[in-house]
Amino acid sequence: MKVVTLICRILLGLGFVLFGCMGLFMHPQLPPHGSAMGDFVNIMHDVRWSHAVAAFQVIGGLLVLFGGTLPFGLCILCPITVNIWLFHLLFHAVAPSMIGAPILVTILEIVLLYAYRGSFAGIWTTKAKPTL
Amino acid sequence: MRYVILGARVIEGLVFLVFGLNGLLHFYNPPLPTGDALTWFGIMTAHHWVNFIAVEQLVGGLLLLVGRFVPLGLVLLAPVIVNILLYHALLWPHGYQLAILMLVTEVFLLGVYWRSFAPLLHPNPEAEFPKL
Repeated sequence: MKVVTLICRILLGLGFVLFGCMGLFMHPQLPPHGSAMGDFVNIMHDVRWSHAVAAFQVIGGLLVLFGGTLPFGLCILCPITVNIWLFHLLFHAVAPSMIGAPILVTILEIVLLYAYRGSFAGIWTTKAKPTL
Repeated sequence: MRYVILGARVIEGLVFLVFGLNGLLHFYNPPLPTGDALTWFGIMTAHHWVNFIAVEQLVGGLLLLVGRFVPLGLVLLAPVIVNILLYHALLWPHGYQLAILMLVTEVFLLGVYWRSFAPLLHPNPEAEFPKL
């Protein structure tokens, strides 16, 4: 099973580093203005919001790839994944070619969240006490 | 110090509870932005993205107020705060003060509840699998 987690880590980490670098350094083919999705994507790109997301993708991907920081990396990548899903579902961009990557990423994250559930146990407890 | 923690919890919890409820029930309509920000906000509203954010704010705010699952509430609200800050930094600066206050309370609460989050940064997390 260790091999499974290792493969999941490498796929997830590399995937997000790659997507993040593409978002940061490449000029994407943006959909045209006029549709809701086109306007949305263009605004996100013009004000550089998508660059901020891409930077978080790179950071999260690297944290997942490095040994000891995987749970923290998942904390960054999971909200991004939620928003990727919201984007695809709410803008009806659900063609199979479009949601293959999100589905794969989600499966990898669920496997890793389960495998490293010990690291997340502190979040789920009802008896958390503040310390100072 | 107990009262500072309680105060931070109540402030952040109440603000997100009110904003979350407002996002669903619309009892108060804040002045709309202009330009790109208005287009962007219109798309987010028309495609119900804001409803999802409102539900997340509502749940996170309630968890902070109730005092059980405070770390889970903080985890839910952290990505929301990141995106609120990005919105104010990139699209519409008006009203950023409240976002800064939310950042301060969130960071403070993450600090005092650090014991719950420390396992996320454990240098050598163990993956565990059930014996098959």
